[in-house]
Amino acid sequence: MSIRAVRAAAWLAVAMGPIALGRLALSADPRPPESTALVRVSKSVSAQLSDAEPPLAVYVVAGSAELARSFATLLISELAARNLAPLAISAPSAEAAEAGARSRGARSLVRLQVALSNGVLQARGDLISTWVNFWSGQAGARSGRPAAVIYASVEADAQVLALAAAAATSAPLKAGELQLETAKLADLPTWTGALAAGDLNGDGADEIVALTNDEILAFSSDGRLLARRDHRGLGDSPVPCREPFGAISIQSRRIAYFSAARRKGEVLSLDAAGGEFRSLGAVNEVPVGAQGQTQIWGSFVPGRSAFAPELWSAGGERWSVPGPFWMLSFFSVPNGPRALIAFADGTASWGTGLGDLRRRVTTNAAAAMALIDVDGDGEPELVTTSSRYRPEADELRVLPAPPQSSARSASTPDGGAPSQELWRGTIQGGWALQLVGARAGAGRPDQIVVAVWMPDGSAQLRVFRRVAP
Amino acid sequence: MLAVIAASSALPCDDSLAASRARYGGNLRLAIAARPADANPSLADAPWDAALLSLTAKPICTLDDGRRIHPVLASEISWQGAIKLQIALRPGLRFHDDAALNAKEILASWSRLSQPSSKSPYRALLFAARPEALRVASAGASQQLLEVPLTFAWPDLAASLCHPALAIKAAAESRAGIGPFKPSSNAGELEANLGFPLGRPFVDRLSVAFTDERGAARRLALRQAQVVFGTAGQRPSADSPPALYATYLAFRAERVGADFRQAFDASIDRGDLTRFFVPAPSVAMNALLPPALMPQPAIQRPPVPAPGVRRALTLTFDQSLPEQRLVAERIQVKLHDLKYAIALRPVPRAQLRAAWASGDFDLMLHAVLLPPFAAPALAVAIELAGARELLSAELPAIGALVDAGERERAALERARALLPSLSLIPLYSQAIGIQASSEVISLGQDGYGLPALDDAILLPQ
Repeated sequence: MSIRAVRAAAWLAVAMGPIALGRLALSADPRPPESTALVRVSKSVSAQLSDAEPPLAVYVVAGSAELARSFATLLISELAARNLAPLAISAPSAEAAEAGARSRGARSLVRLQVALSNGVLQARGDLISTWVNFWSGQAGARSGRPAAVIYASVEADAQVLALAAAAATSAPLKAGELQLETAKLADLPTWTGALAAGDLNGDGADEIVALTNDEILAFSSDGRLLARRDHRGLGDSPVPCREPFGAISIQSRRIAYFSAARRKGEVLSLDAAGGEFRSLGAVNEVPVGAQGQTQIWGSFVPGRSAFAPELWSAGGERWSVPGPFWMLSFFSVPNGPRALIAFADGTASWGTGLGDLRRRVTTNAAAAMALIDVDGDGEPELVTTSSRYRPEADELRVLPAPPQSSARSASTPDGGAPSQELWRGTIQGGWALQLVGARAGAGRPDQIVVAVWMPDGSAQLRVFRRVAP
Repeated sequence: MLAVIAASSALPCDDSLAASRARYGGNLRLAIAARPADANPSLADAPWDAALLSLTAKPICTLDDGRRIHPVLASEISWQGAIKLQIALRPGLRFHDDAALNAKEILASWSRLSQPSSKSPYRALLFAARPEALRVASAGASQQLLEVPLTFAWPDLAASLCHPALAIKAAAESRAGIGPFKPSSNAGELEANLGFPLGRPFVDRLSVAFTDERGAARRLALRQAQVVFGTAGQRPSADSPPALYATYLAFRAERVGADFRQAFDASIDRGDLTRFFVPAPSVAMNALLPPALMPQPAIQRPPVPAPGVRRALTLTFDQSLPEQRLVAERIQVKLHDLKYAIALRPVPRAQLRAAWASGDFDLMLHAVLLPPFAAPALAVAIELAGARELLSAELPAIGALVDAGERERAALERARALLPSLSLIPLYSQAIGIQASSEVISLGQDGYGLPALDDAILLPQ
């Protein structure tokens, strides 16, 4: 697809009038509760069980107890509405569940395994009759009553992912121990230029803020649209960028952003109750990130999707990194800050802060890289997408970040490079140009939020989260 | 303290594409197998000419390969009811010589299509508009609104305004329009326009060389060119650019006689024209509109009419299109036995259009770049046939259909019905032949099948 298709969805309304704009606006609206992935799967499964003989015992297992419990609750509710007299069975195994169901007087039993795999929520299992012919004696032969194989699958959503999420770990992970699952968080009408996460309402979980060439949008951690604002009123940039590009920085519940398509940026706060952003004023500097409590400002390279190397803080501190760059990621740990930078020439560097990013090394960096605590041990991992331009299948990879001690002692360009990746997965449907880490709440590992540019010019926010293996 | 690589050894390595974002920079070398085009956008309508011209002069909008509208010089194009189109110009747009673009220059560019000196078949694109009622309204200090009232509902007007022939240029002929590139101080070179509203192109410079087909192929082989326009390519397929550059044989019925169409259809196989004379990518046209817009019926070859009185005719054609000379010679030979003594008259395109506008021709090979929508394409074809009076009879009924699919079907139905009565014989349609070296990626195309060099990315050597 050509670059110009980026703007396709945004300008589709031009040909179709204001009605089309309204339709586009709906694409990111919150989904009604009945359309969550769990509800859809439970409805599908209950429809397949409509011929079961009541009372019907329900036995559900899943990698996460919360996921199994939630699914069982919804399924039993659906089955009760169908007058199947459902009852939940707890048993150490599927075989043991049969005896348990029989002992509680159930005439049939559905045994289901609920699993999240590659962004798909699946429920699969069987329906059997628990009735055994008395005259079969020790053999316990099954009756001739109907049995069935049950299978249902839907695209996972953030709610399912949250239920399937694993708890934080304190020990460092080894290769093969990390298991991530993905779900769609939200759809956007056009490609994104920037992505950020931050706690905007003080609930301890980060909200997601996405910037397109026309709008800035805030989503809750489960993908509900909280607010959106058309920023075209900020004026057109005299030297716009061909690709969507920009910066968002969230500090103290304030959102500073600057789109390369606009003449100036803006600082906002979120009025979650009112479902809108409130403007706190315009800015003429680009908020490229925040190092601790220090907001880092910079500027765009005119006309290009890159930030200029000169950076500064409001306090007058100034830095100069070795060249124009695509992204800058900071991570604060007790023994000192970490910084990661991807330069616009495809190289990357790692250090203990802006003043430490001296060396440009030859590597294949991606525009979407970040330091994120994926396993919840308090130390960051390095998360990256493919370094290829528009790959057929983009990928997300988690690598152990080099420890700070090796960073200080390394003397060769390859010093401190991790040798083994912790996890690798495919990003379906498009190309990821931005990713951020988002706090999921106390005791939970951070989740990875990826903005995916779809070939049709729209975008999708996907969340990757650690789940129980 | 030293910085250290982040994960270099674990990252996949493919040096040729090692950048997840587009690379900026480089000098893209383009060779065009044609003569330099006229500066007038309505005359630079051959696909290779239009592709080059659109780099320095865009219309107010463009169509992408999905036929979706992208405002370029406009910030917004909106309908104010069914018969008024409102165009908000982007504030602050300037030509490369720093002169400001304003709504008056847009009106002047459009009105050039209807002036006696440069009358063009593309004026049919604006038929629904009432030029005398075009109005410039101010919206604030810096922004200008252009109101385009219509005489009847014509929903395809917005898309029609994206036609390359409606590219906006200032009155001064030397001044380029506004495009992703601007003229450089070096002859034959364009440089990236940082102020282009959709963003500068990825490459810094574009070097353009005009040559013939053999020279273009040689430049590509010797790596003196990275992209070549106008070379023979593959025949159009489902995923190739639409072949919308349609060539017709226009005739003056009173001069060629009543049975000319029958004589033509009996003597000349259009398939032979694309097989032997017109370079690929090209397709034969049996219907009024090309295969990209409508299914082509099978032609039932009529019996050869009995030779009548000898007619001395002149066939005018565009001297800048080598294939037109071959086709003209074919027509000359095949109709000779039917007592049509045809003299060939190659002329420059501007002269050809002038002859068309004044009706001063017997036979004329005339090529136009049709819009990728059936209704406006039908309008251009009717205009080309010299039947402008038909436009007011045909277009309002089509434009009254709100649904785009219904409009498309109605236009095709009228195209089928009108063909026998128009002084026009469809011959073939062409797409641009392109070849590019492997160091050029992301070379997209627009809704007209024209390559978008501003999207091209040059990989480092």
